[in-house]
Amino acid sequence: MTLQLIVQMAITGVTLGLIYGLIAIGLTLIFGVMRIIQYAHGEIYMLGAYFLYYWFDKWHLPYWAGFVMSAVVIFFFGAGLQLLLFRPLHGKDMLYSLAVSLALIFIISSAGIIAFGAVIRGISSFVTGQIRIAGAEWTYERMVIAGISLVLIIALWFLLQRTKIGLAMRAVAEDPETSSLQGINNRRIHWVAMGLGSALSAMAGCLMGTLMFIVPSMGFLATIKAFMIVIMGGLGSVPGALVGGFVIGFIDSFLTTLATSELAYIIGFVTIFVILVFKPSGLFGQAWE
Amino acid sequence: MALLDIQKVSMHFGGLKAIQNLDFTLKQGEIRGLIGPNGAGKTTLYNVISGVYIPTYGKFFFKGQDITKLRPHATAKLGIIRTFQAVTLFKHFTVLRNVLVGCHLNSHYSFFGSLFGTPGSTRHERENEVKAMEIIEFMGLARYRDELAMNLPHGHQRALGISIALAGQPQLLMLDEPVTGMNTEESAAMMKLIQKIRDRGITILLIEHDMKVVMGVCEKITVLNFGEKIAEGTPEEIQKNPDVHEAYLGGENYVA
Amino acid sequence: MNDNSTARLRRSPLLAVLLWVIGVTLLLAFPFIISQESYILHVAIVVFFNICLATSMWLIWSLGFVSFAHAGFMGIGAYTSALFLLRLGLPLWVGVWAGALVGAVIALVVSLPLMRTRAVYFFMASWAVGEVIKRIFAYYRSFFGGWEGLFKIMPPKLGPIDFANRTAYYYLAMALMVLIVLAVYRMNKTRTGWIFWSIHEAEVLSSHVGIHALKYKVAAFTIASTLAAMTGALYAHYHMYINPRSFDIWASEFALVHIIVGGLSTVAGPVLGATFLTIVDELLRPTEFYRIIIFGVILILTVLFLPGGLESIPRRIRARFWRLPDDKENQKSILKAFGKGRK
Repeated sequence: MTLQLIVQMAITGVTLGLIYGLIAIGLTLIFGVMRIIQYAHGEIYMLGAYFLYYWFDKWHLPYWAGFVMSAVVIFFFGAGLQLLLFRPLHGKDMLYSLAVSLALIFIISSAGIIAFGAVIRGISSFVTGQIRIAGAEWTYERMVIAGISLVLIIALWFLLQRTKIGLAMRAVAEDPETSSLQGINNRRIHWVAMGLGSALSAMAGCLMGTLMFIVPSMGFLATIKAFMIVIMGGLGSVPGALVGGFVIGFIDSFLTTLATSELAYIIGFVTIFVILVFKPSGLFGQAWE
Repeated sequence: MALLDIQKVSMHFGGLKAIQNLDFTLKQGEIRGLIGPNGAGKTTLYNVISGVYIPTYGKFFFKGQDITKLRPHATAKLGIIRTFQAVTLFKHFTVLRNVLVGCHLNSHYSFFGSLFGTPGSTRHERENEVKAMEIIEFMGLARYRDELAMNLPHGHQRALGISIALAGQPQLLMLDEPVTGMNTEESAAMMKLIQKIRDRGITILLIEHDMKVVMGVCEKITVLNFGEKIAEGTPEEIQKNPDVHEAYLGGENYVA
Repeated sequence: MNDNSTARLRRSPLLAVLLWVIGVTLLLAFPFIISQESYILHVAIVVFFNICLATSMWLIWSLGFVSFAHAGFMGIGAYTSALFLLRLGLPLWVGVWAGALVGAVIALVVSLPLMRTRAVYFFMASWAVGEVIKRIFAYYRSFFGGWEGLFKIMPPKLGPIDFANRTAYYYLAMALMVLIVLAVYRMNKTRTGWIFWSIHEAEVLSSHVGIHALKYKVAAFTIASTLAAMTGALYAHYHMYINPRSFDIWASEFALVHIIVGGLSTVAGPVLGATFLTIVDELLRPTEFYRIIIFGVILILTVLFLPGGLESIPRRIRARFWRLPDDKENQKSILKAFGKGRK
């Protein structure tokens, strides 16, 4: 356990934590505003990553333009899903939204395997070079990725806390009936929130794809992690999602370096179970029905 | 001995003190009114008594037994049954089925008996149906027997809620705003019904905003405000009480 | 479940009895009707296993929960029975009961804390349980065979009958299927079922009439998981090979899809759904991943356009082509089927 190793794990932990935070915030936003289980959130993440891959690696268009385009395209994709598929289920048992998003997982991940092939690829780096801290290597790429994630999270915070539409979203999340009585167009807020949540997921996918690799099955793993984080931090709680993201990011980083990843998973799931049993609303969440 | 004895009970939700240091006793056979402005803690008190919440401080006893920490199914078993302010029914069940479920407590149930359809178990089910129909007729719902609960008109839904409660054969029946949304005729019918129920030997606690009903049917009234008891007495005493007038501020709730 | 389902059947008992007699005869004679064609027998056996899994999962649904650990319990039964054979030399006849016992004990222990969680948290917690079960199988390689799994799980013999013969196994699987469907049907129809559904409909109200919700949730989960474990045992000795991936969340999810497509209200739902989708799955097998896409599409179409599932089709046909019946109860139930009753 050298200092170098610790610093390396910490750097990775921070970077992963921020990216996981992005996905989780997206999921918690969707759940908070619409009370639906978007089980296919990870598939959106995968689509975002592949979009950037094709844009940058295949069509050789500029990286950051692709990053933005991925977010925009997926924003509308998510909004479309909401309008077409989830809107008719509004107010019904949560089982139906679970069912529809489960169906989306089937469709999107299989379509992904067919379209992209089940091979592992990576989005090429947009910058090379690194600095060294205590012997550990911190690439410029990671720095930028961490930085962008942080910027996005702050931008989202700003959007939610300081803009009118953010206020509307929070209002609908807290009390949909009163919100609509106050003149908020719930329908619009729903697809905006869904689009936004999906865009965050897509951007996380782009960043993770650049950082690590992409493969059509990456979606499911991201979904597991996102739900773990969101449950831990409390459904509907954005700060909870962020804190949870860091926790999982660090655990990921430390455990996969130090322990076998199999055991890491077992421990992880047992912990989730224990948390849910003792703190049924997650660590930060409030009880809702 | 008091039927229900509440001693210095407080219910705090984080910083919110919903009930503060409440002392409250009920005698067997009473019809007691529980009134107060919205947010006074009346429904919270029901939730504490029935066991949905465990009080932050204090204890309460039913027929001498400490039931402070008992959950709803346990207090129901002891004979305390309540109704709900919002319509709470098994919406997709028929009226008969709703009441049959309410009979659960007072009928024998054996898992294997019902699974294999033993003669004993079949007999019990038939007995239950008889008991349930009796209550349905008593409440005037006989012609809706096979109607789905969610299709009933509002007033009948409330009557069904009370029927389910009665099916549990309560010793203490706690009603939560039973006449909400009813017109004068329906309220008068409800008042008669409450008296009929009491005549069957059931003690009744009644939360209600309609003062005509409260003053008309209750023998004694307890008034809550901000979680504290501010007055207790006969309807005449309560009507004259200045603290009560102030609590209701201008008498908008005063329908008398 | 509601009272409408039984009302429908009551209307023409003679027809119902006739249909049953024909159905049962077909089921029993099936292997000989198809001249014991091996592949079709295989599909039928898979249909039976899927019916078992979906129907037992439906029991938990009747209380209002979806357990993503369900396939995990199938795995517990499968591995127990397999290990009883491979390590102790005891055949399926012992293994299935051993699997049931182990499954029941683990389900009981797990469900005591698990059933305290609610709604979406339950789904995650049950998912966690399922994952842990699967990964324990994968992790302990020496005992459970790791990701590679266990081989040579031979089917048993009973006197002159060798269950390695597919026709024989057809009847065995069918027997289990009938047992499970009957048991779940019976539980659902009697008081136990009404208690479960009352907890599902309005748990607060049911507690207040004296129903100890937690007790029934634990009971339902344990019974259902035990039935899944028994299914697993038969599954193991049929395929003669198991690995942890057969019992992961995907398997639970497919069972859930069977229930949703088949219908959520009665026991006919999981039976119809499992039958229909398993056959569709087999027919589409050559298309590989497209088949999964089609599954997803079927699921979405069902949720959006046929929320009552396959079991609601007879009711809908009747409403469309015959006069609406006079009694209000059936009128309302038909309106409900078209989505007007529910809020």
